[in-house]
Amino acid sequence: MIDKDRWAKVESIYHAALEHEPEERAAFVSNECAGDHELESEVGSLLKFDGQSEAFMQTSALNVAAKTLAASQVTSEDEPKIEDIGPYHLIKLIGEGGTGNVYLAVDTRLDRRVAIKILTVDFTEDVDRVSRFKQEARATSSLNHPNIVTIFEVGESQGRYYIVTEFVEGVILRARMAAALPKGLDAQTTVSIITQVLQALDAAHRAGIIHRDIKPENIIVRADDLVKVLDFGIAKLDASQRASVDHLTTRTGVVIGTAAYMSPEQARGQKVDHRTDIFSVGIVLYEMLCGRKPFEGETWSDVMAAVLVKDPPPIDSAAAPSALKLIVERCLDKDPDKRFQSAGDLMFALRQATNTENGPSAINHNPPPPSASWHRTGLVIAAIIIVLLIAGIVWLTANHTVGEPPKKSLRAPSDSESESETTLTWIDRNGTAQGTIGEPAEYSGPAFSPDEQQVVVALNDPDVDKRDLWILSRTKREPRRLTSDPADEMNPLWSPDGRWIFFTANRNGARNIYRVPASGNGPTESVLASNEDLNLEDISSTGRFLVFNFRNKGDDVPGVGLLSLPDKRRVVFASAPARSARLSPDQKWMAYTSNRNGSVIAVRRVGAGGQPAGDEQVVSGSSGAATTAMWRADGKELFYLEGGVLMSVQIETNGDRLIAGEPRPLFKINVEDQERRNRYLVGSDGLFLVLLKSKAN
Amino acid sequence: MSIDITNEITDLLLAWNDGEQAALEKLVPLVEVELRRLARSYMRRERTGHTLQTTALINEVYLRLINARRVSWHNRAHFFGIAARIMRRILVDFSRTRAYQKRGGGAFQVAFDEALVVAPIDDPDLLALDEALTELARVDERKAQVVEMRFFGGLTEKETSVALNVSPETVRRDWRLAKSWLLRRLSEYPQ
Repeated sequence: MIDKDRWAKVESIYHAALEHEPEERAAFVSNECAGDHELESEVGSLLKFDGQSEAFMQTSALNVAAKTLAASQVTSEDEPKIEDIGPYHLIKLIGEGGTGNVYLAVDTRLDRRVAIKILTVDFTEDVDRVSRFKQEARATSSLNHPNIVTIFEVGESQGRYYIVTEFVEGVILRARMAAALPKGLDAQTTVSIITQVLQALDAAHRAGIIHRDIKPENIIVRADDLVKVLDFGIAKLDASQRASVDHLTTRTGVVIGTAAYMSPEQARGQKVDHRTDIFSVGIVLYEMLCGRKPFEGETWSDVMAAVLVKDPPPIDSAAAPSALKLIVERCLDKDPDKRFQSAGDLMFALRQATNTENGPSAINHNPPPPSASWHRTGLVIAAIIIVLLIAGIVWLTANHTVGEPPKKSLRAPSDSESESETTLTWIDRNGTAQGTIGEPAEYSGPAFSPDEQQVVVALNDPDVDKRDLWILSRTKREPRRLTSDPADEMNPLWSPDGRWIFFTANRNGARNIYRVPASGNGPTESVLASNEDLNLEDISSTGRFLVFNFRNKGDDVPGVGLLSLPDKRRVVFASAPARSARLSPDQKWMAYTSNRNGSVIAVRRVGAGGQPAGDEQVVSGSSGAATTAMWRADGKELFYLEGGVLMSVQIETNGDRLIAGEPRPLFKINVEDQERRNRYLVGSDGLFLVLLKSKAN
Repeated sequence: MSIDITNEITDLLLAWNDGEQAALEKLVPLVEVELRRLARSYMRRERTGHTLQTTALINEVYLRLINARRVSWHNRAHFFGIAARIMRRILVDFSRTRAYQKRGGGAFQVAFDEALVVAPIDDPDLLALDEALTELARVDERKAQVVEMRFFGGLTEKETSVALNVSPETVRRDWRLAKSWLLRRLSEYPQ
């Protein structure tokens, strides 16, 4: 227990430090504490959390409790209980909408995660709406665009219609905006998000599909900033519901939200075209920049009245540059003919206004012919286009030189640390190869990005026999180089928020743990330094704990440790020979290769303070040659390697008990050094990514 | 909620404040009814795309729970402090029951994998927070009170300062340090 005087000291230094710029605080605290290291670390660790506490407890406890209750009531009371629908096994409710609830589900045929929207009963009773729903959904499923959530299937089971889409993990734009309140988002973030929304709309409009319900709830931002637009094509149904919704909501006095994103022509019930989406984008833009809606009112009719006749309050000049304000105003013109005429036009104008680029797409984009109203600014636009083009060339050149992978070599490994050439290959549960990612090279220790669209991997340069980290993408051909330090870098892991790559490097005579921004923009930071060798093994699903193995100099016995990132607290989890430790997705269990009696896969509970709890349980067979355990995304299955065969063990947990099934072989895989870390990864879509020996080798 | 029930809750709160323990037991089910009503309206608003305004929500609850006119003005801040404590007890008990019913114990995993809905840190687990807050009270009681009033009670900075009889600036500083302290505590390994 900290005594009163000491706590008063902590408090006064803490607040005094906050008066200084963030980068000056550490020095200030150190000075104030005058050699009292305990005091310095107490204040320092509190200050570390100061920057993170902005959104924490922003909403009230009552709100949190009501939300929990609301989420559980949907499944237990409001809706009939649904266990499975067709081949889809429902896991949990992830969202609610006017037309139905969305669940996370597993497609049991493909063993992949999907999102499934089950339409409400009253919806299904309307024959007319059902037929339109089917028609629209089919049209939408023909859309194939990275910014549009892919529709896999539209179906019916036991009289209930459902729509199955890819499962996107990310943050709903509404949540992003709410976190910034009372202010809006900065102009650059806003334009980057909206540009991607417009790319989705552009593709849809070209295919003759209008969204009709663009709003922050229908926009998801993934951890890697890729934006996905939801609910294409079924939005029409919301519009046709409007009359009844109107009646219902004015009677009960509940403020309408969706109404606030409608265009005037939509509100009047007139025929709409694609320009209704432009108006809605304008409202989202306005709200993102200002932190409030342009048209507000107590009731649905007040909101509609505002949409129909009122000009929105001007955007504060601090919130957006004037060029951007003009663009928003033009989107919000009551007359569709006076708005931007296409998503492409608007996208182009936005880019000019902010003069920011958004990767190569900004350069590839062909500007549409300027419309009549642009003539007076023609010269300026021409100048900006030239600047953009030059910037684009510079960008491409710069990117190209950085992106050159080391030359391939078939040279034999020079020592045991060397890599041999492998191919990162996707393999399904039957052992059938499903494709590759990247070129064959000397890879080791791959790890997925949170969305599994990218892989960070160590790549050995045979000329110097040192590894650097690279990022490979499932969608882009060019790999991206992340580190180019002369030291050996390895064991990368992606933080669950997508922002950091943690890794091991031997830069100061021992292997220590570092991190670097996944974007590549920013310096490498030391995370944990030590005289012992520390090898990174895993990161918890909360991103708060690192798992590593450690080895004293001259000691061949690695143990496993946990590091709490926020306060850099270390816990020894296993000091016996253990390695390749992986936390279960719920963080309650640790699976690792134990070398006490041969090589077996052991699982042990993670107790209070990250200490091991309960007994070590061996889950692998009796061969004594098992290595490299990996969890399935839901924690219900554990995999490991044994004599070149990928094995599977079913896992059930019940509080503090873990029950493992009989190990079963899945398929033979041609991996080298199977005891080494991350020779394979388990994707949440059920595919394995394996470091297969190249044929050329 | 009828005026009668509002009056009843106000009476019970006043009685509890006067030391009548039995009042709390009668109070809880009434508040739970209100919580359910709130959850339903929360769902409706979510469905129609409307975001909840925290302050509006809290005020709405207090208007419904408490007949403020029956509490004299100088007593009001003090009274809100009491209400905040009651709220904390009820909400934490409520979360405890839910956590065990829904997840078979273990409150920590509640926050996981709900990125699609909300970032976990924005919505702390009430059970874990309650425990951390009890620990904070041992280090610095006033800071724990500030959190209780602001987060559990939904009081503004001003209202909290009146209730605790300190300056709004002190409340602001307490709130800031308390948040860092609690975040640090919560980010330590669960259990």
